[in-house]
Amino acid sequence: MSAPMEKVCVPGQRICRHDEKVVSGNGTYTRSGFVYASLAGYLTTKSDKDQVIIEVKTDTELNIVPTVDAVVTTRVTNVNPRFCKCSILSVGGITLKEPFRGLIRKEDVRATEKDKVEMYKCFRPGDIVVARVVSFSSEYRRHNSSFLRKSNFLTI
Amino acid sequence: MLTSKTFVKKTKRGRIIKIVREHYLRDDITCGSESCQICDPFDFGQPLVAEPENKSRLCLTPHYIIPDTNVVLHQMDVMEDSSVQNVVILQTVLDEVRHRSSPGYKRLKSMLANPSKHFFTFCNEFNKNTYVERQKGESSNDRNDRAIREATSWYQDHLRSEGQSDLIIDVVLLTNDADNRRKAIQQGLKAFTVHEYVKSLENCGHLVDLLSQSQMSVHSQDRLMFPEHLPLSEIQRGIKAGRYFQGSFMASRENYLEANVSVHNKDEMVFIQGHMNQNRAVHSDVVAIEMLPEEEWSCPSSMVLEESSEKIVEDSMETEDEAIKRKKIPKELRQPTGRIVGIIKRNWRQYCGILRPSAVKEGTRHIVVPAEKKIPKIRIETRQAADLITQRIVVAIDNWPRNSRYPQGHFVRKLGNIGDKDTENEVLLLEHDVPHSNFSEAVLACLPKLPWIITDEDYKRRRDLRHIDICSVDPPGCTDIDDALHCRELENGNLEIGVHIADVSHFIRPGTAIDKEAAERGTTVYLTDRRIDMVPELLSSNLCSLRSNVERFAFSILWEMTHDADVVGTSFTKSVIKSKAAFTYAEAQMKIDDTAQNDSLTRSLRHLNRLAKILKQRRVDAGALTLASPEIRFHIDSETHEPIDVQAKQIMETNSMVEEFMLLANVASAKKTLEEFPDCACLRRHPAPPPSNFEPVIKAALSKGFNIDVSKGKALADSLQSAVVPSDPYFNTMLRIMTTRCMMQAVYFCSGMIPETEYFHYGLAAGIYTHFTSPIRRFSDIIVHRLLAVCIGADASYPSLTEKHKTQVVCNNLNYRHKMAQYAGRASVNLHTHIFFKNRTTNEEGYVLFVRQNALQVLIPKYGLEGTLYLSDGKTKSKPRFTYNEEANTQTCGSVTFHVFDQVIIELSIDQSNVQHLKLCLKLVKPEIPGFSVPAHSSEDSEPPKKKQKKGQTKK
Amino acid sequence: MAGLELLSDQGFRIDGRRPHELRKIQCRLGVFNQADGSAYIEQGNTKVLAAVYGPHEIRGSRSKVLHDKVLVNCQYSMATFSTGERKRRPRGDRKSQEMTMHLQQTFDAAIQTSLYPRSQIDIFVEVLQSDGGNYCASVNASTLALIDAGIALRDYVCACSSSFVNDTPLTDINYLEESSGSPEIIAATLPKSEQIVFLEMNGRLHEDNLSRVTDMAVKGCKDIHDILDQVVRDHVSEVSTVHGWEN
Repeated sequence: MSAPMEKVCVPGQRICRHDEKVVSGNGTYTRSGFVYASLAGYLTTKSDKDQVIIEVKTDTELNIVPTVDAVVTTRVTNVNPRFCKCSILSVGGITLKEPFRGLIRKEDVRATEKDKVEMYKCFRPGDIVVARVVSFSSEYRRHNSSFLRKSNFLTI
Repeated sequence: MLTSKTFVKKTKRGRIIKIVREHYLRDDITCGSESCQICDPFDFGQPLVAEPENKSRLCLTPHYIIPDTNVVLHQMDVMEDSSVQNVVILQTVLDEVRHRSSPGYKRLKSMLANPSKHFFTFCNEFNKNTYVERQKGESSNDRNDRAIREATSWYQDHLRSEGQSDLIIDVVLLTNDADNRRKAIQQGLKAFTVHEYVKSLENCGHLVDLLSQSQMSVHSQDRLMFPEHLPLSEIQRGIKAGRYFQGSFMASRENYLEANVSVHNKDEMVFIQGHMNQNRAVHSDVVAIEMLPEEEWSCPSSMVLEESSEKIVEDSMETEDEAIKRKKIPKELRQPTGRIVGIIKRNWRQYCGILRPSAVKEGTRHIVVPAEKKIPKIRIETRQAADLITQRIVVAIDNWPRNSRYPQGHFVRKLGNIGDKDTENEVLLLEHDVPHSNFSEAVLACLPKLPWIITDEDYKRRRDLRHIDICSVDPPGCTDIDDALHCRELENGNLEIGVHIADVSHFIRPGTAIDKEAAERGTTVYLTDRRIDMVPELLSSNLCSLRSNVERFAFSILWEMTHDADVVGTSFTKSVIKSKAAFTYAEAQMKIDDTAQNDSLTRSLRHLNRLAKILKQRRVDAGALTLASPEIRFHIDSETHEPIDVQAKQIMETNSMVEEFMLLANVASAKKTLEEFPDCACLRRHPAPPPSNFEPVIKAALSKGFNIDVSKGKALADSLQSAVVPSDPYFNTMLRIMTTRCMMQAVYFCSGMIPETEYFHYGLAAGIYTHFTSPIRRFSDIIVHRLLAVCIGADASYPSLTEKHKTQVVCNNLNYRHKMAQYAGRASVNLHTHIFFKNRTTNEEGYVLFVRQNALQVLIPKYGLEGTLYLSDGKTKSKPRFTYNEEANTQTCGSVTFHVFDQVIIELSIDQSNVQHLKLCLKLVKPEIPGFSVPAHSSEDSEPPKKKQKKGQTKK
Repeated sequence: MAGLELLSDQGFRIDGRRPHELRKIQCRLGVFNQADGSAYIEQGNTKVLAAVYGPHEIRGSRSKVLHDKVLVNCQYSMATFSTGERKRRPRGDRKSQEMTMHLQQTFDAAIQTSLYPRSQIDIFVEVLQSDGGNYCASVNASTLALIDAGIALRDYVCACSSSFVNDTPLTDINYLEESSGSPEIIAATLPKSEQIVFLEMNGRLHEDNLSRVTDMAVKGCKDIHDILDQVVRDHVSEVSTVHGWEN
């Protein structure tokens, strides 16, 4: 409706000089003392207690991949006495275009009484689980820990 | 703006593909007129003059000329004339000319580059307004014509549009195509034929002569028709099918009815005999031939036949052909014979010649007799016949219609009086395509300024050899000294030999005007009285020449050798030298022989001499050939500049000494450049001749009982060495002279283009060879210098040096120039011989070289001349009849028989009946044959004897 | 077609361009919906389509996983109808494999790979019509497709080819000029910083001329960058207007 007021920027465009007050947010990177854009979209600035966060907003959703310590929302696909396989649907609040695969091991379900966990009783295929990524295994499956105190079970 | 050109093409393999190409149309193409206010300035070529002079009666306003393609191609001589200016050459026309004739294109380009002619190229194909797309069903010729008309019309509008000057400039379209003219006039353009236009020009009578007659009707009364030439597509189909063959037409110098065609893949030449079979082919054309059935095969007649120059017999073409057919040829002598069915490419050039008076007094049509015997007579039209009758002229051939005995052409320019030495020299140089104009300003600008001094920088970069006793040995009167030698005793008992060559590549830098000119000339041409230099005299006789007692730059090869001429080490370096003395061969020889002299120069000469002998023996053992050719020198009278005496060149030991070291240097540099640049070294090779070449020598030697083994170079050398007749020392020399004629040409080549097995030099029996030692007079040596300089790090390389295709192109040019220079040199010697004998008659010793059906070829060693002794006229019956025995190769009359190598005494004089070809007239003195031989002539008698006149009358 | 003159005396090439002029470039972003990012570019008569998928989980062999970087996977293929004579193998022949590898190396340098560890980005390039400069058009198209997909890039990657004829460097050579045997230099650069990401040379060139020809190619990349830049900006403004974006 109203015309966008912000400036269009393209990858590689130099935005401003990098100093303590400026923080490079999504869609930007710093190099040799300057902040550059890395996506094509609109430049937005957010001031947050004295610091300015510079971000590039695109119309499409941000591309993101699950990293260690990210909070992800997954759906359980397979249940096994030792672990259950799940597919990661979104990272943070951002839905992924394509699901990644993850693994919740028996030991990571809860903090106490780890060996007395019975997987079948904890999860069933189709459950939605909010988890935190713990590590990446060598076989490239993320190990999630559903070790979250707050409502871990959401059966939909 | 972007359009695309789409067309369908057939590839070589016969597949059909569709080509789509982009074509950008621009609006920044300049019209090229100085007066134009609209277009942008440009930086190529010259603009058209703002106020063109108007000389034509047909178009009264000042105008520019736009010719179409055929006008440019056919009327090249008119266009080249200096009074034709302010012409616009359209891009369409330029491309078509390039496609159809590359010599024409070269000439057009030089006209465009000539600033005084104000020729301008207009890129009408890229101009938005003048681009024309091919319509459906339109042929490409029609489309081009339409493009030319469109461009003309644009020019007309553009020059009159707003914002231009008030002077109205018109454009005139010149085209001989009636249809094109009609359409142009309909469009409102001015269009004329070339002939109309040229005739309408004021003060341009000479231009009318230059007009070529391509569309004019034939002037002869012949009803005779040559067979039609097949169209190119038909020929190509026939070649593919194997019915026809492509080859290069080579007319015979001796018999105008005979010729040979050398077909690409075949070894043997195909023989063509007769007018009809030759079918209007001219020497050096590329033709298509069809083989005749075997029963019709013929062989060259052993007669030496020249077309009579006195009268043209119009209808004797047929009779001559019939006469040939009637001769019965035995089967063994038959050669593959064919006939010409079409011409693939004409290779006409401009020919020098003399006008022959026409029978009709006021006529404008004349016959020109070319200087080159292989070219037929040419018919031209000129009004200046009266002036030209005493002049040598240059003419060009335009076409050869089917019903004309001779080709038609036009006059180009005149050279000077016949018989005048300078004119004759000019003819010689033109006929042999030797560039002999003065060096241009651009070339002279590349020369270093005098006084030339050697700076410290130069000393640092070169090895200082000024303290060494170097000397040079050259022919007397030589000013361009390329090479110098020295020989020094070393402490370790070995000898240090140095060959120092003038460092020409220091002065001639690649890519400069002087470099291009030298590459074009290729070699210095030595005529008897003149030298056409490859590089300007400042360099050749002064700064590069290794004169004595001055410091000069050189490129040195230093060898460490044992006293037995075994090479221990070789090194190459750039140096500064100071030659101590410049000897002639004779002086050096005297120094060596004079036992009283013992200074360092003499000692080094003696060492060099001794080593040279060892090296030579080594070469001979390996199979090198020593051949002889009769070289002579003229002594020129300083006042009249006419030759007063002739002498055969003497060969001394010192000649051989210098030669050996030059060969050693050449081989060493060949090896080094090949090592570093295996695929772009400039080398020289001499292919072994095919055994069939040696037949005349073998036959001749056999007649004296000697067997010549031609299987290998060494075998040949040995058999030549042993073929000695103790009573006749000249016999061996004659045999060697005959062998020289069997040899192939040695050629330059680029190492990457030919397999290594073919690098062999037959004559020197060397696996690899090049030319390094004469950069002042040969361009190939300059290339080798540059390559070597890169090898030793003394100079930088440049792109063309390391590109093998470019080097091969340069080598091809050098081979051509070298060949032409040799022919020109020989022709010059002939010329002077004729001048020398003009008012002289002498008796000399001679040897029979070849026996022919109606003549003997006799060699006269004293003058190194060869002449023809005709045995029968064919007309006078009273002369004694000679019987020709073809198998034994003898001529017999009565009790006297002539064999090859027989010694005879000959009376020499000049037959001046044909002004263009002064012939040496030989008459037999001994052995005496009554009714044929002439009495011995005393040399003090300078009056031409009466007998000569009589003989001159009966000879036709 | 005897002796095609690549550069006439008046300074025009066969198609009427001057030596420093590029061919006409037309391009569009977002031509497909199913791919994450796509672009189509026409450089003269060379028409190339690029599609980008990702970043997503690595498919196929697990061994290729890079724990700190994204895996860039390219596939280059030429349509069978793209050349004058019909090609029999659209992909898998040596030329295509070489191109694939080159593209991969190029984009490895341009994408901010550390942002997407253990993932894979696929770039598919299809040449619809080939008239010289295939690699350059592929690179340019892939850049646009990556921008369209929203993958973080350090800078644009632009590629341009140049040649050396008659002592003059030519820019953006077409098929005829390529096949004439003159030397060819292809350079892919990050235009803002003028860093060369990829450099390839075909043919033989004397080293004295190398810097001139390379400079010409880099200049050509800059010119292409200007064009692509404009297209991207227009696309972004247009798309966001459609989406009613406000901020």
